[in-house]
Amino acid sequence: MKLAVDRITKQYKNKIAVDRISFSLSEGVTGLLGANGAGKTTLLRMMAGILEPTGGEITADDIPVQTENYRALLGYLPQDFGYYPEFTARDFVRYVAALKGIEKKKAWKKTDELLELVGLSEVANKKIRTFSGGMKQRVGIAQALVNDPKILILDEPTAGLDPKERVRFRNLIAEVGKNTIVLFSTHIVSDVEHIASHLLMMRDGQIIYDGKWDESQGDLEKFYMEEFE
Amino acid sequence: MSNFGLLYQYELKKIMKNKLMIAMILVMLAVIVLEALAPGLTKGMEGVREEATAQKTMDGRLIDDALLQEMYPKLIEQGRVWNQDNLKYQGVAYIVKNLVSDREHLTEYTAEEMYRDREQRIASGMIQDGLTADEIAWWNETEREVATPITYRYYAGTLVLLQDLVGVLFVLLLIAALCLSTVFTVEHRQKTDQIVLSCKNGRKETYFAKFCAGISVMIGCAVLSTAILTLLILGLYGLDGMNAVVQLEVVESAYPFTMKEFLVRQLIVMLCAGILFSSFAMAVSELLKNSLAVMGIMVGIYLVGQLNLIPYTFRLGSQAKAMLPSNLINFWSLLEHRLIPLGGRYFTQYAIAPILYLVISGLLVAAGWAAYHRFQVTGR
Repeated sequence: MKLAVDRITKQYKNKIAVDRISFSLSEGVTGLLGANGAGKTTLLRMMAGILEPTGGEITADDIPVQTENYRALLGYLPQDFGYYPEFTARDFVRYVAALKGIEKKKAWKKTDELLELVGLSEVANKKIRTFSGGMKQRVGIAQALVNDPKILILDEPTAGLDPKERVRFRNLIAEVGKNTIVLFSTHIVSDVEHIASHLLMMRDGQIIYDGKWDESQGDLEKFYMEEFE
Repeated sequence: MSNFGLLYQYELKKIMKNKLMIAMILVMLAVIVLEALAPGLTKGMEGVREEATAQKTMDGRLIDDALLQEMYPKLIEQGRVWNQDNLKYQGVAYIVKNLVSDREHLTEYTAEEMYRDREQRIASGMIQDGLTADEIAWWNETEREVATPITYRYYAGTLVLLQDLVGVLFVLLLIAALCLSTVFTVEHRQKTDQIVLSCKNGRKETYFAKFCAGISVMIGCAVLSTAILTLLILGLYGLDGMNAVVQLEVVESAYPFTMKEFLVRQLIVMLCAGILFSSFAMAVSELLKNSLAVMGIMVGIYLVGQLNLIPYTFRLGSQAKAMLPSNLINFWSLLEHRLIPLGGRYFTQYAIAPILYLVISGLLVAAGWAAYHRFQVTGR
């Protein structure tokens, strides 16, 4: 599958948040690095189909972002992950499965598998409002994966996770990335340096680096700092 | 899969898990119980039963000269004082007092004078209300179905039910304003809209599942509250007099309805108004992205509807006001004789208003859909 972003732009009155960005992604983990305010979230919202671009287009194998077929391929974890306080973790993931059009029996099975995977099976019937920040984030990760997405967009997914959870999450994403296009936004270099095979760096609404990355190329943190100087 | 049924269930769950919704259902039940108990609390249940037993002995009697001549000697102070001897005439005297213009000389009226008096008051009321000659002719034809002399029926319990539905409708309006106005806005406030809208079924299916859930809750509340109220009244006072003509209570009405027929119209008005309230609350809150504003607008419309701010001379406005659900469900709406001409025929407000409520609801659903579909996740 090819996810193509072609001259995508988002302008708010007199501010250009994303400025004619183009790139294409295929299966594997892509790290999207950039400081706060660089335009990462705006770009990801447009790629998730919840924010209309001012110009340009986004397609997945020629399926436009505005369509139901595109959304059927998508898993999305927003930066500010919202939840229903009165729902249990199990209810919430099952609800998202229903939203994603998954058949009930399959959804229930998948929900249990994912809650096990993110280490929440013990508290699956507890209300989300009783969870810690890290546990809520893990519910968010489970909901994003419930439809076995072909495109997985993660906006600052490691926020709120403790160091142990971060490692577990990175391993999970590396595994998912074998068959899925994963776009992983963060401003923490260590989140992506070991799992991303492709890097995008954003500054002031523009892509300043788009290329392959492997550990033989040196220290990513140092490279990142140099690029942003 | 569209999973509409599943999404509908989840939307119902979201509404019913809202603490405010639970509180409003408790308020609704409290209002119903208090409304049903009110007559018993005022007169005492023993007094209610005594009255009922006495007045039921007159059930089925024509209010004609024979009955009037039988009753007049028993009246004390023109029917102001009641005792064991004359209590059975209390219900009849109440109707007769409403039929005549001069209550101080009640006992001087013959049946013919009394019914003529009523007809004259209806005719002058219609002229005063600005009815056209064609409308008056239509009513003259229709009013013939109201047979005189009127047959007396004991209808105290039925009257309580018909009057209490006004309170039930008000509670339904509050439920819509307070609980259903948050069906869409809560997604924005809790930021769950981002996940919902990015999902395959997060647009069309979710929008309509939310609407269906909101409307179902409203209809459920209407049915539940009416059923409980009916059972309470049946147990406390009975539901006698369903086949009595509405003129026993609203003598100047020209509608040829029995109490039962009016009740059916009230229930239709209530159900259609419930759909209108819920559609309004949900659609306008999505248009404004503000549930507080919707609460204000709905309660504001209700309050303005209760005030006499629009003169009868401004027919369109005052007739529209009369067709507001809170006015139409009231027993006194039976005095509203202005008709609605459509396709060369005349229709009463009870025929047109429910259809109008549904049409407006449909338009609101469409407007809400446009707002929901266009919504963009920005800022935050």
